[in-house]
Amino acid sequence: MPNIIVFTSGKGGVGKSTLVANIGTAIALYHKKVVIIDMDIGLRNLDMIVGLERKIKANIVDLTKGLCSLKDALVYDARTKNKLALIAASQSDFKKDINLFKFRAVLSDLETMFDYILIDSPAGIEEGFNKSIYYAKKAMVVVNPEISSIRDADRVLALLENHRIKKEISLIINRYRKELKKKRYYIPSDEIIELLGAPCIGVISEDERVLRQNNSGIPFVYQSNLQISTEIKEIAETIIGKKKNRITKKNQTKSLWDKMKKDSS
Amino acid sequence: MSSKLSNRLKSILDEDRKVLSKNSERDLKKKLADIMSSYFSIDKRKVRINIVKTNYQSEYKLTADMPIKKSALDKEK
Ligand SMILES: Nc1ncnc2c1ncn2[C@@H]1O[C@H](COP(=O)(O)OP(=O)(O)OP(=O)(O)O)[C@@H](O)[C@H]1O
Ligand SMILES: [Mg+2]
Repeated sequence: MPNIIVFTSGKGGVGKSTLVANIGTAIALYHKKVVIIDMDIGLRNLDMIVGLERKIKANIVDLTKGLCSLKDALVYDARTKNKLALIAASQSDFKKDINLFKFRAVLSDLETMFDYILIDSPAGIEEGFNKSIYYAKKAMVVVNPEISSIRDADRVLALLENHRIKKEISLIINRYRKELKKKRYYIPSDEIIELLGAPCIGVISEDERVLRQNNSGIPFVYQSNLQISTEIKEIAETIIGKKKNRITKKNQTKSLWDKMKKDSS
Repeated sequence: MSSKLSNRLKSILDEDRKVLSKNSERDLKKKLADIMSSYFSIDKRKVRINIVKTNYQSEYKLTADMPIKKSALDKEK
């Protein structure tokens, strides 16, 4: 399952859903078929960010429970010539209501239909997170330039690195304010990459228009004049292999135990 | 970024990681003891594992110390 990519973070509210909506849209605008799945069961949001909330008839829980067909659960975005599809989360169920094996079967079906599957993980490192990351072959860890977010990202990185299904892991630094880079209280992006010891696929600036676009249901990436749109498109290009990732991995200060551990790839 | 902030962040992550690698050490110890105990009567509580430097060229080896229960040896006699 090479093109199943989970967006996760540990800490909540760092921009996972915003990034899934915009990167998903950007990939679709490159004429690739992509499905975005909201795994935040009980707290569904992704449908609103992409402005598809009114079209939803069924959700991922219905699907894994066999209560509806894939056709019922997939909602297509006409603005992308139906290249982008969404499977919404359920608003009334709980994380436990997804059966991991059934979820796997759904992913297998989706793989035959789409080039990319992007999973929007809930915050935290519990059940919803575990199910979201389980079958992903790539993981994007979203982090804000704040110590609480960095600490949680470090915890999530360790969980992803030790997962039984090997994952290619990248960081996305979101809500970055370049103008503060030199401030004593600010953590510059290169420091975040160095500290977390994972490759970074992109840095997205802080921009108040994100809020405006999220509220309007039109992903900001449609506004091609924005700096953040360019930043999103660069990540999309890296994902679809149009572009080599420029930001490289820095050395991680690992413990002796971790250094000695065999790489099980 | 001030060096104070940088040091604070580094020490937070170092502390967290220490706890995590302690967990993986515990996990390995448990797995090794579980495997060995299907061959020997291992005293699981006394299992020690370690990574030690073997020579000046910084080569390392993993050592495992797994005491066999005295009762098991007595039975043999
Ligand atoms: N680059 C950005 N610039 C400004 N605001 C942003 C940016 N990215 C996200 N936001 C804002 O941050 C808030 C949280 O975003 P979002 O809901 O995408 O986060 P999340 O990680 O999915 O949250 P949760 O953990 O609750 O699922 C939103 O109000 C969004 O508008
Ligand atoms: Mg979200």
